[in-house]
Amino acid sequence: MTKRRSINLFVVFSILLAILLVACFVNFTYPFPMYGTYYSYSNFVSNIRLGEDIGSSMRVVYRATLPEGEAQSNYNALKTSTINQLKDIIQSEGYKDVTVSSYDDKIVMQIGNILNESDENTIQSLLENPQAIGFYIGEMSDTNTPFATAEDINVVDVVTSYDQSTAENIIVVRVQFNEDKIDEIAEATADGGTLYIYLGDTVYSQIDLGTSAIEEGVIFIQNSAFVDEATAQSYANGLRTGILSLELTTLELNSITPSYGVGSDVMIPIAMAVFALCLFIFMIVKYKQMGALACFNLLFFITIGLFILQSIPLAHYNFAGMIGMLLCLIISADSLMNIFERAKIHYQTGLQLHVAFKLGQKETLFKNLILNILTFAVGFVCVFMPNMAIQSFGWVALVLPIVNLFTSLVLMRLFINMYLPLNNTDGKKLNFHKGGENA
Amino acid sequence: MLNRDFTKSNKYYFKKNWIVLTCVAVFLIIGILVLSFAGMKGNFEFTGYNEFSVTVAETDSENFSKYMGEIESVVNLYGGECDNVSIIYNGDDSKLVVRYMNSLSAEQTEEINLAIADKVATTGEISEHVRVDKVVTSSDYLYTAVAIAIIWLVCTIFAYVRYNGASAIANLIANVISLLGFMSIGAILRLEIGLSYFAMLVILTLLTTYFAFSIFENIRANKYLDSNNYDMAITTAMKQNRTRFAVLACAVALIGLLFILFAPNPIRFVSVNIMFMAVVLLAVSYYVVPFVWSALITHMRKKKVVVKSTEK
Repeated sequence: MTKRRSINLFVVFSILLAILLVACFVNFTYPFPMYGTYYSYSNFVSNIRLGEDIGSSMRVVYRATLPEGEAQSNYNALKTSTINQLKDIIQSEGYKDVTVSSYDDKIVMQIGNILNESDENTIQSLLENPQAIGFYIGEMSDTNTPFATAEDINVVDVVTSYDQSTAENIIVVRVQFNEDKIDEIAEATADGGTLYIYLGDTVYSQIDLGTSAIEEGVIFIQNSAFVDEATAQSYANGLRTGILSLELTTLELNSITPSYGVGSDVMIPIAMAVFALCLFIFMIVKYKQMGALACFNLLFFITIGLFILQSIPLAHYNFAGMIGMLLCLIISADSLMNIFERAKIHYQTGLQLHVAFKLGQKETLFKNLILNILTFAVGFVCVFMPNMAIQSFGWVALVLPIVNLFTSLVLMRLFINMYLPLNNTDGKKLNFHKGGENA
Repeated sequence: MLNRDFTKSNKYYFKKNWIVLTCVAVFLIIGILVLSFAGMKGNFEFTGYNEFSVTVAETDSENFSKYMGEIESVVNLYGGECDNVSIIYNGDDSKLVVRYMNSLSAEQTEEINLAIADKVATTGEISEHVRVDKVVTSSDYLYTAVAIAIIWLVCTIFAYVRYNGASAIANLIANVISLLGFMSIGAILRLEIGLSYFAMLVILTLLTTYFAFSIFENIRANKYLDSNNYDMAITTAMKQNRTRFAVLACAVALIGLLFILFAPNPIRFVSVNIMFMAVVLLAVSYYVVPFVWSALITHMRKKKVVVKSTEK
């Protein structure tokens, strides 16, 4: 590689890095209309879903009361059932970081992963005021009573069904009633008509039954709005809020700052940035120009890593995840240090820089590979753990070692090859010295 | 220290009855585990908390910090148990959500509520109190143990296949000691822990194995084992890694320090553990791994020679 080509490549990579850094850390409004967007760009960092401990969350406090006719002795069992139902509804909406606890007649839910207004609206519409479900033929009135209520429903879920008219599989919401109600429901809907589903006094959905009755105690609800499983699941979750075991009165529903205290979401990134800065300074002091090159490489590692971390929809990152990110940054720097240290030893024995680095990379290849695979394996185990702190760390440990393998083994090799035409003889510029104890 | 002959001091280790040694080790491990869990000081996620919200008239930054300061001072008046107050701000509804530890008596809780109500009486309104049970469940302990056990198993098999039996066992022993050491320090010093502590245990497992594998990789690369020169193998590997381990441990300690300096109270208290993690890592990688490895490899190789000579 010639000097000129080397400089050109450095310019190209610097521009690429600048673009990545902007994409990673800067929010801006597009100067021209961009269809399919909100005319503004949201950076990678703000798209990272944070856990309720260090990110914004929604908090709901309910007073839970027994439905009429239920015995007081069943209260605790029904409360546990309600908590599980609520947790299940929220988690099936994609909000995995849910903490539910209860005291006396109150149920407190805290839902993490709240990223934007859309998330707030979703939670609010589901949890603001859960009302009991009622199935009617025709609109609700004093004379028209529901033919089925919450206690008659066995299960509400999303299934794939074969549509004979289009010969395609379609996504439908299945409402299955209890077996003892099958005949009663078939009789009530014998003439068909319009099925009204009410949540409290509000119409949730209308379904045209035509002239057919609901047979075998199952309704399959098909809707043009069910473009994918998630939209169908949202619809089903709306229905599921109507079949909770206890009646809930909302005492409070608000969005709150991190449960680890005000400022966690701001101060933790600052602490992380200071750590990265300290690491960069250390690398530059220890390896001079090669240290600067390492920082260049680490910035690629950070930006690519953040891009991938924010693009995993199910993953969220709490305090343990943040520690994991910093540890992976250390591991990435360690991979580079392994290469540099081996190259340094070879340089001390009198070899030229390009030979020293070639040998250094070759000799540390397996070591770096194994240490990163070890981190990946640990991450792989952790993402399957239901404990949110461990899972959060798991996602980080799963993603970042792969990025590190790319940056430290592939990108850094390229950067070293780009650097060597500019300096192949002067080891002092890298803090390398001829001779020494390892020579 | 790192240039000494690691094998000499180990030659009597395995002459003792191994059943007695194993029993003593198992009892010690169980004892330390039980004592560590008993001695741990959990934060609000472990103990549960009292919670209420205060609706304030205005939430500009001046009023906000004024309220935070006032409420925190009232809660802190009730002693160390209340030092874990966490005030959460809800800008939209002009609300502050206040949480504090609920390890207090009902009377003390009532006193705090009245004192806070008194403080904010002119401009604020306090919502109904909610007492929230602990967030940590027994499954958190179980799944952490499962995660660590799986990692140990995978790493032990890997170490056995790539390095040798001595490395596999040395890594396992180093992991057990680092985990026990870390938990004991936390329990003895009554360091505060939160939910993230479970992840810290997994992180410690990863880092201990990372350090141990670094040593084993260097031993493998240096090829001293081919000539049965165990002393040179471990001494050279340690020499090549000692600066690196010190730097890595310092980096881990720096993470803890920065969180202590920058983050709010609950994170600050939990972060002290990270600094001690660095100490444990350094101790285990400098002393435990080389000693145990050299002791095991000497024992195993010697045994092999005896078996061979008997066959002849």
